[in-house]
Amino acid sequence: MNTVLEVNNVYKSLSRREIIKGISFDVKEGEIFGFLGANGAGKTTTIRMLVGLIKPDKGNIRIMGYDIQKNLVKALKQVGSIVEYPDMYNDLTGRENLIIFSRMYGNVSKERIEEIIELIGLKDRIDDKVKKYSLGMKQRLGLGQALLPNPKLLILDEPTNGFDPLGIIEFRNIIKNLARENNTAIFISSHILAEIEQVCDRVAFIDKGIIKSIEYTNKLKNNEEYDKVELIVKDQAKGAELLGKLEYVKTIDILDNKILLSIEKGAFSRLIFDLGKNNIEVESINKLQQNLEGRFMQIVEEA
Amino acid sequence: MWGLIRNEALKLIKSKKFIILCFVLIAVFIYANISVIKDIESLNPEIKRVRNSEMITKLSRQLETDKKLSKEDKLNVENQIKKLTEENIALTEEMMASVKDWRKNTEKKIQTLKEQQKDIDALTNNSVMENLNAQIMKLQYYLDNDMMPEKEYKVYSFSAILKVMETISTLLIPVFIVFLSADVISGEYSNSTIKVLLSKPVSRKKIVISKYLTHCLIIISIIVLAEGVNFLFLGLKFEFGNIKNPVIAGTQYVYNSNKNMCTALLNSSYLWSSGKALVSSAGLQLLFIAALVAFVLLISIIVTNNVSSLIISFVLIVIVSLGTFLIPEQAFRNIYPLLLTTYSNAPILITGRIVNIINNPIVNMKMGIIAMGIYMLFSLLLSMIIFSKKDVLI
Repeated sequence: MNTVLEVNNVYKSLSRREIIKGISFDVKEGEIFGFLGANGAGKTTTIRMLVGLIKPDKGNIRIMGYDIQKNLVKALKQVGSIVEYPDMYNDLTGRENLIIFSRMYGNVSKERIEEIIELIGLKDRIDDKVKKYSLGMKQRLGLGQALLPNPKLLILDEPTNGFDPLGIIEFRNIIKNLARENNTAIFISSHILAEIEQVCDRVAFIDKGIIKSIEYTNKLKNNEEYDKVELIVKDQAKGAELLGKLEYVKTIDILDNKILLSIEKGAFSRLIFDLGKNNIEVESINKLQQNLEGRFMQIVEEA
Repeated sequence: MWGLIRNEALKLIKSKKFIILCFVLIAVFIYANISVIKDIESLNPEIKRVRNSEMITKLSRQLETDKKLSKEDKLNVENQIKKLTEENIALTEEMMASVKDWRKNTEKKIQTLKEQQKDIDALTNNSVMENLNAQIMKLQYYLDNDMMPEKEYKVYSFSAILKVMETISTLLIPVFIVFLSADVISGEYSNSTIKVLLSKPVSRKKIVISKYLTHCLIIISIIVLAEGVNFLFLGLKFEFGNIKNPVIAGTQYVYNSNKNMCTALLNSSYLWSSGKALVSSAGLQLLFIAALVAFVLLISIIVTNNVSSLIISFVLIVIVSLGTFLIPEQAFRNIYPLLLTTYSNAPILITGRIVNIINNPIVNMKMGIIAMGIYMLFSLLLSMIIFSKKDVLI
C-alpha cells in the first residue's frame, strides 16, 4: 500500500513558543488515521501545516511524494480539507462556492459538481446564498468542497462540529466508504473520542507538541481480557469491602465517588447478583466500552 | 489564471458594496457634468453682458440713493461702472462679429495679447507671460491651419470631457478604488474564507496576481465605460468639436529666486490636439488606477482586518488627497511629488496646472509616469513576497 502522507520530524514555533516539537507519522492509502489530543496539544497547528496554511520551521511534509513547501500545487492537487469551521463566501450561492473551488483545483468537471451536490444532500438549497444556510448545511457544503477533486487524501479538522445526529452518522458512512471503496487516505483530528474510535484504523496521541504514541484502534478493543465496570454505590466503604472478596474482580480503583473495577469477561451478571444479595445499594453501574478514553487518559496522565 | 480571475470577478461583482459604489459613481459623474456645463456656458458673452448690465444698474442706483458715500467711494463706483460698460461694448462687438470675420478677429486678438505682453515686466511675471505666449501660439495655430477657433462658452465633447475628468479624478476615483479594493485580501481574513482559499493547489503569488488583475480590469472597465458614455452623451447633446482642436499642454515651471514660488519657464508650453490630450489623459488615468489598486492591495495584505485596512487606506489616500489639493501646505511641498495621490488628476498634470496648486515644479507628466510606475511595481512585488511568506493563524 502506498504512503499518501508523510510527516518527517516537523518543528514549528509561533510567537516564540515551540508548539510542535518534532513529530513524524505517515498515512497510507485507504487508511483512516486519527489525531487525538487535548486542546492546545498542537492538533490544529499540525493540520494547518498539512494544507499549506502554515510553514514548518524544520522537517518536511510530503503528499503523494511532493514536498508541500517546494511543490505546493502538485502536493495539494488531490487533497481535500476542512479546517475547523468551514467558512464560505456568504454573498454567493452554495453552487457558486463549489464552482469557485472547482476552478482552483482545475480538474473538476460540471458533472462532478452535480455528484457532490447530490452526495451532501443540498440539492434543493444549493442555489440559495450561503448566508441563509444553517450550521449543518454549511458543514455539508464544507464537506462537499473537500470532496470535489476526488481526493487521495482527505484532511479533516473537527469535522462533525455542528452536525445533527443523523448528519454525524451519514458523515461517518461517507468517510468509511471513501476509505474502503475509493482507497482515499483520511486524516481526522478531533477531541471527540467516540467519533475517532468508531471510524479510525490508527490513532496518534499528541500532547504538548509531541506524538506520544501511535496505535491501532482494533488492538485497543480486543486487547482486554477483562471488562471494565464503573460503579457508584451509596455506602462506598461497604461496597469496596465486598468487592475485595469477590474472586472475579481483578482490580479495584476508587476515583471520587466512583469505583472502577476490572472483572473477568462474562462475570458482569454475577456481579449484579452479588451486589443485590449483599444489599449493596447501587446508584449506577455500567460497563465501560470506551477503551480509547481509557488509553487517552493513561497517556495524558503519564505526561 | 483565467479561472482565478473569473472567481475573483464573481466575488467582487456579487458583493453588496459593488452596486452601491456604481450608483455613487454615476451620481458623481452626473453632478460633474452639470457643474462643468454650467461653468462653460456661464462664459457666454450674452450671459456675461446681461450680468454686467444688472451690475451697472445696481451700482448706478447706489450712486443715486446712498448719500453717505465718501468722495473716494463715489469715484470707485464710477470707475467700476466705466469698466463694466467698456466690457459690455467689447462683448457686444464679439457677439455681432459674424463667422466670416473669424480670421480678422483672431488676428486682432493676437495683437491685443502682444500689446499686453509689452506691459509685463518679464522678470517677475513669467507665468503671465508664458500664459500669453501659449494663447498667442494657440490662436496662431488656428490661423496657420485655417481652423475657426472653438468658442470657449460652447460645450464641445472633446474639451468638456477633459474638464469632467479633471473634476472627478482627485476624489471620486480614489474613493471608488479604496472602497472597492481595500478588503481584497483583508476581507478574506475577516470572513475566514482565507483558510479555504489558501488550502487549495494554487500558489500564493497567483492568488495575489489574479486578485490584482481582476480589480484593475473591472475598475478600469467601469471608468472607461462611464467616460465613454459621457463623451458620447456630450457630443450628441451638444457637439463633439474638432479632434484636432489645439490644447495648451506641457507648461514647465521653476522655482523663482527666493524659492518660495513657482514661475513658468518661457516657451515651454506646446500644443496638442484635443484627441491626443484626451488619449494621454485616459492613459495617465489608467496608469494611476493600476498603481493605486496595487498600493491598496499591499495595504490589504499587511493589515489583515477589513475594517482596519479600509480605514488606513481611506486615510492614506482620500484624506491625503483632500489635504494635498484643498489645503496644500508650503511645508509639505517637497513631500507631494513622492505621494501617489498627487498624480491622480491627469488633465492638470498634462497642462502643468498642478504646479500652481502644490507649488513644486518637479511634478509633471514624466515625473507622474515614473512615480506611478514605481508605486505599481513596488507594491506588487512587496505584496507577492509578503503574502507568500505569511502563516495563516486565523
